[in-house]
Amino acid sequence: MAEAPPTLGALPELDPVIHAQARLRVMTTLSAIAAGDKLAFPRLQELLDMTPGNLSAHVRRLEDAGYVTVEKSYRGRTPVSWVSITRRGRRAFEAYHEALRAYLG
Amino acid sequence: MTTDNRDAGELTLTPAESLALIENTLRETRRALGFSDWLFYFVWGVAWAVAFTATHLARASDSAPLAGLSDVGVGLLWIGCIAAAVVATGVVVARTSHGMAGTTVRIGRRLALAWAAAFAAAGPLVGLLDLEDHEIGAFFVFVVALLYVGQGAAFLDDLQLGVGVWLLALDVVALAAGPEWFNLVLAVLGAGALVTAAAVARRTQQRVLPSDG
Repeated sequence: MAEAPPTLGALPELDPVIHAQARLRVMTTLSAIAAGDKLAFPRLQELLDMTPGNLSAHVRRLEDAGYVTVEKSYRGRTPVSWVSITRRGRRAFEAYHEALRAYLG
Repeated sequence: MTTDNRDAGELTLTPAESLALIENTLRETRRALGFSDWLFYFVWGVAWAVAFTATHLARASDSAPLAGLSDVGVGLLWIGCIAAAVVATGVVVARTSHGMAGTTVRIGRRLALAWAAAFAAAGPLVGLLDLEDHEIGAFFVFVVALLYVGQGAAFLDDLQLGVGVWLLALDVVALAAGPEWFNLVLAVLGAGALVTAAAVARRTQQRVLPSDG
């Protein structure tokens, strides 16, 4: 007789800002760098293989939620946007990750 | 099963898919941005092995295989090995840290400055101290060992701390062994320690970043 699949509990309430594929990838990438570090927008784009417009829209949504910050500076005459995860964003991501692990056992 | 809420960017996943996505993304990001400590140890281990072995073969005795190599030749060999290792180190750092700023990059710059300052000062010091060839080698190994010990202690890196302590002890042993053996001891047990550290660091990295599939 086939073994019954494990019974999962109720699906936890997952943060809707993070629980979208593109933003989850952004948050995961930014959570992997050390606190106090930031990534240039083109580098983040390269790591995630996303178009500038798509990444920009998702970063803006995360910024509105207070999960990431975007700092603009200049390298010579070239403008550079630096993206980093905030303390609030890191806590939200860890809570989201923990909720998934707890749910899936 | 995935659910497309609004558009491709808003694609939401099942909990299992989300967890798998997090794990894959973490692994890929760490692989792309993580410093490969093992490469540093390996590159410097090879540089030490070549330079100390050649110096031993040139200076151990009058009948040594490279006994005809002049002081300038030995000096150029050392400069070549160190330059190659510095360039390799720089390439690895540049590849992993491009497009990154903040605390880690600032720490890296200060560490590079610390190493450069230590060696810039060590050069004139050995000149002023009027040391024998093998004593000059011991002085530089001492500087390297202290930098490893300091970094290992500051970053809670037991491997780096262990390498530093080993090199400190080995430096004393090699110096006590005398000028005929000094370079050979460091070629085998000094370079060997760095290559062993590379293997340990590589294994640790593979445990943290298991290969796909």
